[in-house]
Amino acid sequence: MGLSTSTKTFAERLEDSKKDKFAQAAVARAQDTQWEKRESSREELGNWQEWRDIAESIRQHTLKHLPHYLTEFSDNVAARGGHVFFAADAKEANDYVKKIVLEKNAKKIVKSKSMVTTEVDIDPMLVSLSDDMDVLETDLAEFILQVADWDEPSHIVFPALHKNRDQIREIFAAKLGYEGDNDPVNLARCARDTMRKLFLKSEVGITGCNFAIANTGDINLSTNEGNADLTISIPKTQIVLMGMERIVPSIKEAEILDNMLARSAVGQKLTTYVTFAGQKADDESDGPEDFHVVILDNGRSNAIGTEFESILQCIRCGACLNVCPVYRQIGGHAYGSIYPGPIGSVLSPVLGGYEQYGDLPYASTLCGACTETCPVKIPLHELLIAHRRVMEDDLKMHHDGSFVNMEMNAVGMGTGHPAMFGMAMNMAHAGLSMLPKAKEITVEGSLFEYGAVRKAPALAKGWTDVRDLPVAPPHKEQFRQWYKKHKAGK
Amino acid sequence: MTGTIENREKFLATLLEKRGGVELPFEAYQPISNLPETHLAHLTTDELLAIARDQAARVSANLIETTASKMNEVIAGLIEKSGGEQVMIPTTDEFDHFGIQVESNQLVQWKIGAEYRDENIMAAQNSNVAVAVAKFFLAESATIAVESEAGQGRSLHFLPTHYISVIPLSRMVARSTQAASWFEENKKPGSTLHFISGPSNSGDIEMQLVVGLHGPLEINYVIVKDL
Repeated sequence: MGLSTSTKTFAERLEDSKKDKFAQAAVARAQDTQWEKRESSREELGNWQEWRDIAESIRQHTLKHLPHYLTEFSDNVAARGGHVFFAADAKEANDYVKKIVLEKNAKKIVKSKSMVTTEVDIDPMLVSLSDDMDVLETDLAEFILQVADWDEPSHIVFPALHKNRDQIREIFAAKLGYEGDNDPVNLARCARDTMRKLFLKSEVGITGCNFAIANTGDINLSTNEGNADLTISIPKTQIVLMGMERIVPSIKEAEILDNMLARSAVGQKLTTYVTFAGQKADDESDGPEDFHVVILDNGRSNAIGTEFESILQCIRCGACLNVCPVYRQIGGHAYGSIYPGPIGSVLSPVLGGYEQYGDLPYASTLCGACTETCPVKIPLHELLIAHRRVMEDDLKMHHDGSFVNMEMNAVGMGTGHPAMFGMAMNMAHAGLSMLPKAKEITVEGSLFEYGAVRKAPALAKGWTDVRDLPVAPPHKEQFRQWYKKHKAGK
Repeated sequence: MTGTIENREKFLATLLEKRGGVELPFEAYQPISNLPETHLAHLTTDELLAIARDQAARVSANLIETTASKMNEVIAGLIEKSGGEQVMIPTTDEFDHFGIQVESNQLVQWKIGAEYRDENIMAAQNSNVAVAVAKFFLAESATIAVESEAGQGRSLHFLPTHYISVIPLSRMVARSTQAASWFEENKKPGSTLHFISGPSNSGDIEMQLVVGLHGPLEINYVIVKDL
């Protein structure tokens, strides 16, 4: 899978997404639920904008001094007997993990949910090492996706959002021999029992890292399920994969970001399990005896020193997905990247290039809701515009081909001059008035249904494919006409 | 024994190159606000406890308030309510220090020493209840802070089915800021910090909250008011 989750084009993925009504409803429900939780937890905290300023200052400071903190962190890990590998790309990271697993002759591996391990595509590599290799994703959602033949995630925080309880029951029945009902409590108990048995036999644990603590060499993990804590307790070997930007000076800064993360991701004051751990001490009896940290670049340095550097401030809360009107309509799979939504639309082209992810910056209304909600103040919608500018102006990668560009040039000219804009508006109303809206407009299958245009041509097609386009009011009811009249009468 | 660091120079050279070859002079992070330290810090113990009570219910933890003289009776009652069976406790001076006595005919203790790895993990797995003392209790989020070390391994907090955290009220602080600040100065080298807010849970199936996925199915906070 890697960074890319699909071989289809963006247009093909959109068509698939439009058909998936359950996923659309699930995303809408998730966004609405999370809105309530997130906003009330932020309101309860108070001074939210000041908290955002603090979080932003920590992230910007760390990025500014990244070489210093990476050096300090790796020195501290090594001082405690751990091992640090700096990987330039996914292949180097995979090769290192492979080397460790082979050295340990490990056959039973447990994994805690981690975006970066998916980004480097570690699961297929591990599975390919041996016929009897047992790799277990221990986050419930990731476990469901794994049991469902490694289905792809659709959300950063809720990866199995697109699956309902009946589908999960069927998957568990087919693959795990589950005989119970579709109650999430019973399904979760089945998962708990299955996973607990495998945990106790595990030889290697693989985790991500929410934050790495430079001055102690510890890693910081947040989960609600506790699966990361078992992963860092039971196996004798632990391998941590982390993006190079996920570092903070000390536990004091991590504490602030953990609070921001919990409130922004799931509306909690603190995630159920927040853990700071590293290699076990000599007199301890559980925890990793061999502790490895893989620090990954994999395209992140493309953002350093550029106008996109602030995307590395991201703490993976997923709040931007949960407010995005585009994500609401098309869901996670349509993005074709393991990083969906606004964050993915900015980050994916940085990591994987414009050739593959150049469509994503256009999958935005530029409403700014993502920027508004981001707890570390990443100017997401401005970065989306910046991507478009780079592609159009610098790289001359005209997004939708010459015809659309011609149309957009015409729109640009029309909207750029008041007189032409007024003329264009009048023409639009005149044009629409020619359509048969005087007739009954509630007939199924006609051009107009319930007072809306259902199938429009050219530029408006992208809109009417997924939304209704309200019929324009009669000319005399136009706002501009009304305003002119009332202003004159004032 | 010192570990290894591979590829660091090359990796950092790439970052330097992206900055145009100019290394920025290092300055330590200076907080731009004291908001984390002051948030809730002005509240009295009673006010913080009221917040903690409300929050404990939100994180599906049972909060019981008692006194030192009744503490052991409360603990015994919780063990019985949990179904008895095997009970695990850490090896720590704090049990003696606070007078905690856990009565059980199937009592096991976490053994100090790396050679007891498998024995300790399996004892934790086979325990129905674990009893431990919290280092801090964070009122804002109803969170216990626990420091795993030789006498109480990481598994002790996660594998047993029920968990009883004994919390001297004197260890209650406003929020994670105060605990983090203390650990910044006093954390034992190599120890592990767990901030635990109620039982393990998940909303991954149609966003319906399910408690007890990996860790304990139940967590009890026993707040001892005069300790």
